[in-house]
Amino acid sequence: MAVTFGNREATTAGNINVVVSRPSGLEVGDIIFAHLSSYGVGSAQTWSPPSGFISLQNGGTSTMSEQTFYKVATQADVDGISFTFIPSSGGGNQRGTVFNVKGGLTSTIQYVVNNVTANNTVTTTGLTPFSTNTLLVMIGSIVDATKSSITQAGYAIATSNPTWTEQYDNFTNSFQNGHAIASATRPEGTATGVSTVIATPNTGNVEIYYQILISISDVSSYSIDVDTTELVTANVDIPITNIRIDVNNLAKPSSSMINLTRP
Amino acid sequence: MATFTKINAFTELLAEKAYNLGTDSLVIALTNTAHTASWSRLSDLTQVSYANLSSRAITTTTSAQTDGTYKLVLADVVLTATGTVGPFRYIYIYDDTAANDELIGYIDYGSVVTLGNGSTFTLNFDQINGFLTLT
Repeated sequence: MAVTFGNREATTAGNINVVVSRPSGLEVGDIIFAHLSSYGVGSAQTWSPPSGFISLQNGGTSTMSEQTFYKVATQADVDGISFTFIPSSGGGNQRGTVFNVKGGLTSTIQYVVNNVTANNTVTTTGLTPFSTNTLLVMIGSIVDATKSSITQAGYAIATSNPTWTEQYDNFTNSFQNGHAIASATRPEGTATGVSTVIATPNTGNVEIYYQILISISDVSSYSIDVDTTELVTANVDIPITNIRIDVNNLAKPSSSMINLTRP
Repeated sequence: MATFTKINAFTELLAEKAYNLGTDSLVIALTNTAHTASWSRLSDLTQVSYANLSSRAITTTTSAQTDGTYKLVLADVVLTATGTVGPFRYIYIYDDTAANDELIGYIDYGSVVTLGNGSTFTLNFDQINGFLTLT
């Protein structure tokens, strides 16, 4: 089964919980990912996720915090209307983005993360996907107090770079916070090499810039039923065309024999 | 149901006792190259790397005759990848005990397969009628 990107929802929040709507088309068994970031809370913080979410990675300083979660969607998630993430240090200027992935297995999830300051390009060392035909998801997460209208683009990996589809790209000036998400299906199971995403602010370099590269694979099962092979030996044929009768040893006719009349 | 195609040399090799199907070790080989009629040994194949694959050995369940009909029954085999394996399309069975690792035959899966980490490829042999009969 191919691993595909589903849909995404995003929101901003101040010093309150981050409540992100359920992505449309979410189904039981999908993998739900959530990425949270905040600016200006004064200390590094994490988020308490809804039931079942597992923290994939988190990082940050007193200026910026960020965290990524995932879980396998249950019927309650499908029936619900939103996901609530509770900040540990009051919140600050927050952004939350939730998206779902179809056909993947959580046991195959790989990720790599890196961040830069005062730089418009953030790279990671890349990763080796669990297997072939992997869905790659790249998250660009920015905080900046002074720039505006920051956009992200240039999603790429160094080796066998697939075609990327940008799923989301938004920066809200008043929340000093932006997320971008791009996805791509990569047939090769080899190491990706360096991954890159590039920001374009209205001026200068962005303040703090994170990139999280995630790969999600599936597991395929093939089977084949082998038919029985029949080997048949040939029958033995004995030719009878050359039988000779020894007339000297014919038995004397007896009375019980049938007498044939002359035609 | 996939047809197992015996190699041309199989009958002669069988008659001239290259194989002992009752006791020899039968093993699976994978290749992405279509069969050539003259092939008779494992060395004729260009095999994939098995570094990321589980055991390819086949267990012989029974090798016996009943009322003059010989039947060889093989246990199903599940190949499990722990990394990329392939691509391959043709699944050969060969005699690993025979002097030259003589081939027995092959199955054409019909399409090219590349196994990823955790993926499996299962060969389901007929447990009733057997893999091979000789009458």
